[in-house]
Amino acid sequence: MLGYIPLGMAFGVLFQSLGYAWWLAPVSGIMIYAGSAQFLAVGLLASGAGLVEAFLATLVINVRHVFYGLTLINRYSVSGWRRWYMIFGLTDETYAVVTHNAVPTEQRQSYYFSVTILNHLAWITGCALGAGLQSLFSFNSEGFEFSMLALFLVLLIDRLRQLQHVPYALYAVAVVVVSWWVLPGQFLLLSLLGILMISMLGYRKEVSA
Amino acid sequence: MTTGELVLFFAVMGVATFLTRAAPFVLLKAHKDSRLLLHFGRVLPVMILVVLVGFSVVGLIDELANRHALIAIAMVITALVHLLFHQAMVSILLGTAVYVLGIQWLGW
Repeated sequence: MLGYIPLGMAFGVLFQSLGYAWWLAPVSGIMIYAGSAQFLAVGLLASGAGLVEAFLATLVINVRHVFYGLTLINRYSVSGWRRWYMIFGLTDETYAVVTHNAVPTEQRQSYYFSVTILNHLAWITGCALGAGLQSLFSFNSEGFEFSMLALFLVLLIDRLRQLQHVPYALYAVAVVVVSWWVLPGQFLLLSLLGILMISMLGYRKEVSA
Repeated sequence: MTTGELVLFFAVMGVATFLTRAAPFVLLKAHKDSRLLLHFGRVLPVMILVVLVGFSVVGLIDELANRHALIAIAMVITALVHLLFHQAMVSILLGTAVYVLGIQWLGW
């Protein structure tokens, strides 16, 4: 959970480079509440992307959450607004915590709810701190944009520790290179489309094998 | 972009994020064990991360200046530190520090 404060701060500082009011950083933390998507938002806003592109890119990037939810359908048994809030707040970090800690059955729902809300608060605090400090002291934040790349690189390396992921990672590298070469202006959408196609081909091969 | 437009931008991304999180609970209950979904769950995340790394690299390269070498060095340091210590925050902060210092102190 504490990881969310420094990461949120990195986002806040990066967000300030766009030149908006500092409080809009925590607002995005409240509304979007997805680390990767918010870092991506800074990139999209900087490159002048439209709403449709933002919507599609967010869908594809966060599609991993579909698979988190699939494993939690039976665990999240509470109903009403708490359930919807827990689903809204199902980030990578929250998923990691709720699936790794053993909690007695009768306390589970309140535990899941607390984890969700505390993570959200930590994230919003981080976003506000980073953007607020940056607007107060306006230190030279040139180079801070590397933090987004570093975040994705670290997540990728964690995935690649399981070696069966390496071949698909290599396919994706090929997709990225080709997309950039063919259509640098629509690089993101083209590569996301490309990897969807590759994974479908992979499935057909697996089924026919 | 005005503040209102920016909030709308956030709202669109927020809705898209929520859809991905709510889909299994609302739509996919019956397909919990679908082989296609399991396959996607296995192969998509790693490929998406490769695309995101690519997107970030392209974003850095686009920002003028000849920083290819600095980008490569900072990436290698981030990766090595992460392989050695497994501490995401440490790797991110160190890699970013190398990049920031390269630009601000060494005038890369």
